[in-house]
Amino acid sequence: MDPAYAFDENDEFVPRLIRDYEVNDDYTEWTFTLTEHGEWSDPYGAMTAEDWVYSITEILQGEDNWANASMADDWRMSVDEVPDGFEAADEDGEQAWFNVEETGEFEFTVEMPLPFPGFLEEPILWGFQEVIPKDLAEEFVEDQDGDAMNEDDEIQELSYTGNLGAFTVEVLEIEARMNATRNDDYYLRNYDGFEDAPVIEEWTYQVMSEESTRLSALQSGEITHSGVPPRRAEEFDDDIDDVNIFENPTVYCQSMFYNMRDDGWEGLQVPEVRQALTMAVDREELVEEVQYGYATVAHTLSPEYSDFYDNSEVVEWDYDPDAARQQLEDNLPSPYGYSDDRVVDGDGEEVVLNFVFSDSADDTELTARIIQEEMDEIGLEVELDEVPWNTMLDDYLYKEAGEAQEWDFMSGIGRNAYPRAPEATEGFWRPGESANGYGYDDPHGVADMLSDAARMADADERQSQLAEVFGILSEDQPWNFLYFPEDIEGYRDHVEPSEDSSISWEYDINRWEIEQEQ
Amino acid sequence: MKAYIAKRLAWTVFATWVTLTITFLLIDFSPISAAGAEFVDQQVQSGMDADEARELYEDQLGHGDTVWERYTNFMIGLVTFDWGLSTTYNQPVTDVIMGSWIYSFQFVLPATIISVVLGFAIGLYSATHQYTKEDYAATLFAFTGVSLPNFWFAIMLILVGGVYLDWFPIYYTTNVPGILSWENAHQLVLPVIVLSTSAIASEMRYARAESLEYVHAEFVKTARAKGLSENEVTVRHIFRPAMVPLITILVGDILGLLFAGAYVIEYIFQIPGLGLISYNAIIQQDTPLVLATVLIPVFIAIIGNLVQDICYTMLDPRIEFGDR
Repeated sequence: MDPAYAFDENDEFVPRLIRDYEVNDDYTEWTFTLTEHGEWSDPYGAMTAEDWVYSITEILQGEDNWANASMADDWRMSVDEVPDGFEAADEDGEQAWFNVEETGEFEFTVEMPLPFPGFLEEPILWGFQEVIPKDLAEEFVEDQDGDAMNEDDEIQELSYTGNLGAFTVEVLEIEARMNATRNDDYYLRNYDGFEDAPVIEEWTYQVMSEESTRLSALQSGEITHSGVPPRRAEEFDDDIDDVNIFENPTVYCQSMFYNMRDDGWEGLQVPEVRQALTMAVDREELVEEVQYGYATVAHTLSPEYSDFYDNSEVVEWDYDPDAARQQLEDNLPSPYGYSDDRVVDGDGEEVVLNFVFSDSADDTELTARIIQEEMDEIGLEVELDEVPWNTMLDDYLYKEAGEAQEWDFMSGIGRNAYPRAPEATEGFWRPGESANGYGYDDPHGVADMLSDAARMADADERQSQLAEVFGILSEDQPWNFLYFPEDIEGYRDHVEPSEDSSISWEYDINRWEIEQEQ
Repeated sequence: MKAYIAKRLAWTVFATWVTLTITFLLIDFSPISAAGAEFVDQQVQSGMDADEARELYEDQLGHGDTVWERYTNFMIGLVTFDWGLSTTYNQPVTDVIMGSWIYSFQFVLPATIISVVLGFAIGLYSATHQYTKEDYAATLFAFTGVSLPNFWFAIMLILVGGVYLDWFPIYYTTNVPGILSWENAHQLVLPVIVLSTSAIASEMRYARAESLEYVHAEFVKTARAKGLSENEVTVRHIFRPAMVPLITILVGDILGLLFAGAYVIEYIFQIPGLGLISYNAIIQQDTPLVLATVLIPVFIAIIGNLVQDICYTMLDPRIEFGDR
């Protein structure tokens, strides 16, 4: 099933199920127009605004979240006081539901209590596929039975989607294979430029857990496309003629978190100490050694291609171990200091920091080992602790200080920078939020600045505010921002994409040309 | 004999219960699954509190009860053949198992037959031709076969047989005309080679060692002196007594093939059999499915032992149940 809409490589709105939108001057009321050619499978008829409003108001905004929907938070907003005409979404009156109303057969509005200029770009309605036919949903809504809804065959198998997707699922073997054939009634064919969409006749998604099997299958031509790990990218690009490699920027920042809570090393609470540690790490080397050049050094939680990244605001801490050592020596909090070129505590005992990292990828271990050696160069002893990713999150990051396992540095978690709407990162810096599990105390009010930016109707003002935020973060170094990796996609050379590499890769896949492979 | 079988069956039920209880507790007390952690992480990034996100995840899985309630519900379900719903596959566990066992069986069965027939034959030949060139060659093959890690061997076969020679498909697909079709057999060649190679080697070493005990036995010499042919001596007087301990090894081997070798092979070749399903279930912490996939080898092991004891008496009449 298609998403509500997409963005192209230039971040322009690309219509899909939602064809058009309008917003009022103060960004509090958004009006969306749906395609008139959408049909659910029998017996549900045309896809109308009534279906969308029903799914949002009765399922996502349902009483006590009866459906256990994880997207419910997207459809409400923090407020000082719930304004007239809005419903409270919590007992304390600090949250208000958005008003979602049908205003025409194919038109609905979303009204917010406060301006929300980034609503279109935030991952709320963009990519939205949680709409189901009202007639199908009614039974579950009346019984408020989330389990029955989740287990329903039609919902599980997406068999209600009619002509709303480019393909019709023929075979669905979970964790194994999905086969889908071209949907000749595809609603998008009613629009200019899409008369033949999708160009691909048949599409098979094959699960292949083992990387070497997957790459062998791509090399031999048994599959058309697979992601390629950085260490094999050059080989596929240069030595295998039948495969083309596409490098796409990503939105995920690979970082090393500093534990600034009470259970972390006190030194990490000092910004100058964090700056020194960032200077001690050669991020260019990480890009070359760990990512084989397929990454870009990060200086803040924003990739340089984002509209909100401003060179004049961002501080870049170049690799300089001597300067790092000097800065560390000058800024260590009492009673820490240097003795015999090593960082020691008040008793003269060497400080040993604990670096926990995820065992889910070799890259993470290599990164940890390189950083360990670099820290050793500035006299800081670091012990490595490799744990499963899920354990790292659950037992270290998302446990309260005192209850959590011991850690000072952490890596192996990619964080979305939301380059189109960075306000979505607010929780990373807000003290007390789970997303700020490393305990950043936000002395410059970055979280509030992001929250304010989200309500700014003036585009220039918003841009300036966000650029300032990324400047502060680059200077304060709440994380050691390491790099933004690239996604490397290998395709057989009979595939001709209609788009340029971007974070939106595959948004236009229905128009890609596929020649018969020789 | 009836009393003996009844006693053994009662033991079977007890052993199964103990195994399942231990597995249930291990899963229930294990840390959050990778899928659960990812869900919680996503919700936290969207602004939800970590504890709330964990609770929401548990609610979505229907895990809101106490450990004791979950345990009793599971056990009652097990006895009443309501084995629950797999959260990974969104299907009843029984349907998942019923849909997958055939994929394991179709390559484990030929691999077992090949390894038993060839392994025993080579082992017997090796024992009766000790210290000959053939014996050394067989020994070399056995040690090589046992030493080759299945994981590495499978990847090498894919590279050589699939990528460079282009003789075999690289991965398994269910998109074939049928289980008994040529296409299906063709794509199972590499998995069967990997699985049978190590098994032939171990069967052969056992068969050789057991047969050697009887090669120089007095009754074998007597049989030869009576004028029996070498083939008759080998099959009736060496192989038959050697079969008794070999049967024990056979049960263990089949289980090993099914539930250890198959894990690796199904993962690499992407065969949606019991091994891959069990692997996915463990990774996703899909408790009902993990327990069901544990139950099957436990049953096979226990029933296999029963069958093995019955086989003993048929092969060696000196063994009686009354002695036990």
